[in-house]
Amino acid sequence: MRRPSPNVDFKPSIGGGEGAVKLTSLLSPARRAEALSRFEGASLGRTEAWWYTPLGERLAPQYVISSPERTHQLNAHESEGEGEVQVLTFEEAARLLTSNAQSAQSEVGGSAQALKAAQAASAQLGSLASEEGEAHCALNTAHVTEGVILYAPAHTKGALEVSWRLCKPASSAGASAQLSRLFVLCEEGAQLEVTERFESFESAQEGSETLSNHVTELSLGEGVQLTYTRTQALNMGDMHVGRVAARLEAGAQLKGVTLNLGAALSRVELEAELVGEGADLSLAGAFTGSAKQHLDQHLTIKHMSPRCTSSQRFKGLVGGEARGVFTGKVYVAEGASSTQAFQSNPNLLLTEGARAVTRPQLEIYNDDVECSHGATVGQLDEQALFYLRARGLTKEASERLLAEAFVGEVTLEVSDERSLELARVAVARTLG
Amino acid sequence: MSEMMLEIKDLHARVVDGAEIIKGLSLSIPRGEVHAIMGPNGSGKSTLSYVLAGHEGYEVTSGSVMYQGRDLLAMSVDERAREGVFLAFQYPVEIPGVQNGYFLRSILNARRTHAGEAELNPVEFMKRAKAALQTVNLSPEMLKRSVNEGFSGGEKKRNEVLQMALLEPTLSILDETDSGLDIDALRVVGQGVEALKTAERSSLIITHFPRLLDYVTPHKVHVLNAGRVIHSGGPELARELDERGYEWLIKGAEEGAEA
Repeated sequence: MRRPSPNVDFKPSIGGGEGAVKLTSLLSPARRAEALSRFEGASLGRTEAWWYTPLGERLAPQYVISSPERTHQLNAHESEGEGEVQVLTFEEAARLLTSNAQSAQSEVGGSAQALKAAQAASAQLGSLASEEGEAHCALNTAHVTEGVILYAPAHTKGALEVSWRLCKPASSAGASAQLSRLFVLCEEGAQLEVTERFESFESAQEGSETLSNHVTELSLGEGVQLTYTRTQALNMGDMHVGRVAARLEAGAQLKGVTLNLGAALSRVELEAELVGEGADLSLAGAFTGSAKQHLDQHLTIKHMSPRCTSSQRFKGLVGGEARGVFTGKVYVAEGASSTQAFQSNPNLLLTEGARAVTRPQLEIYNDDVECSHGATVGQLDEQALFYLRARGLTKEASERLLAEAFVGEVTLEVSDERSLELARVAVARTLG
Repeated sequence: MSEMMLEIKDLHARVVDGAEIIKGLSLSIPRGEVHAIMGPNGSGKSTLSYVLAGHEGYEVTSGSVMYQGRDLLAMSVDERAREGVFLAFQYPVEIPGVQNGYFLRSILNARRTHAGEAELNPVEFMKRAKAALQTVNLSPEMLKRSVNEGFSGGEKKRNEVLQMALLEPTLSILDETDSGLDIDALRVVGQGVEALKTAERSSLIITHFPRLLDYVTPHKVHVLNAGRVIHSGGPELARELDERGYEWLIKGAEEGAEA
């Protein structure tokens, strides 16, 4: 695997500024302008999809504010298979795509393959995460200054970890927005493990609200196996809006886990299109709320071909006066026969003030389907609490054990140690 | 050190905001003795075990319970457990997602820490757990499963005895642990109680049938009816109850009350 320098520091300025100019060959000014007009045309009010999370209005004043300093860190593990998985930052890709490609290639340590990755990204950025009517995605394309491209040629194997760090601007107090992106392109038969983590760099301060706007695009060719872990653990003063858009060709398997733990307000959208026959999507998620946190998970699963399977299991652990929102839309197209789709969203409310909204939605245009969904809202099991305490565990330890067990079904599938640690901290926080 | 392990005096207890179930119960268990409480359904046997364990769904309206000379009722559920009171549940609770092995190590370490002993690391714990598993005839596989989840009735009760063997409680209370068990499981429960029959420890066996008493010989047998101890006797009383039932005692008690 091509390794980028282990620590890449970015000091981008606003969209259209120096940072964007650097990326011109990757994202042309015309492309950005088009995205910006889509942003301006999109409704920022309370649409049905945004009913429980009034973030729309808050996006608007953010985008003109200069981006602060930011760092992301890449960790690419050795690939095991034949061939090499390519990792490029947007900046490196843009350099490769400039007319001076020859020197750029040697600079990045690149190859024809690196150039191919850059070209593919340039052509396909935004093709998975729709910008039509999606203000935050359009805004992301219009102003993104930092991004990573992962290109897995056919039958390669590899693993990538991207740690996104959010900083408040050094210069200004007040609100600011940071826009980042990950583009993953997996060709036929590739096997990949990708982890994204979002953390704040410094402790949040009053009045320094930072919005992180991140888009992840996952393109899975035929027979690709992708394991994707996404952990959002920003500080309580920050906000997060993210979209993961995946497209699965025939026989592709995507196993995704999202841990939505931090931020005052967060919205994580997962959109998957099962376009090839026999594609398999399995998503698990946990969200943990404390204090006045608002956590929204918004799923849109589209079965477009026959014999595809999808499952979503999202568990909400909500304490304090926090709010958890889950929307799971499953769409089965007319031609998608022998579809299997399962969804569940159990929620545990730990306090009187905690709230959970759960909205499973099925839209089915084919008779030959097996679908089920279940949503529950409950409290910690009193009998189990008594049993644990009758064995000598304190009330606090017992509650914590039960809360951890509740999200444990999801974290069981996570191998990233840092993510697991962040989840433990977040679970403890829900118990106050 | 008090010679009296448990001293219950004129205890009255009820379901919170509900009917009174324990109505003036008195009972003393000296250190080193095993006592059995028998009685018909609805006599208050399970309520007594919950009250002694500290279940918050029950409230004591009057009377006292002293445990090794200390006020047991002033302690919280978990405090009682850490002080050595153990309740073997009639219906052990299933806890999905909590691994049995992790649970056992946690409760053992909670007790050890409280007693000022060092916590056991996973290796030390496994050594003990494996030995204890053998005594209750459970496979080490049981440590990997969720607490009681999907366990058969017998496995659940063995798991209770396993916890008892690991925690080595000062006072064990067995709430109809023998109900619904086959002979082999009964023997395991009986051996578990026998193993804790030392000069320092005491046990209270609450049961509807005297079967378990074939495996453990109690020092005393008490008969509970309508929330009170109406009769006490030696181990031979269990056999007598098995043959004659409870009616003769209940009648006698009622007549005595009227007189």
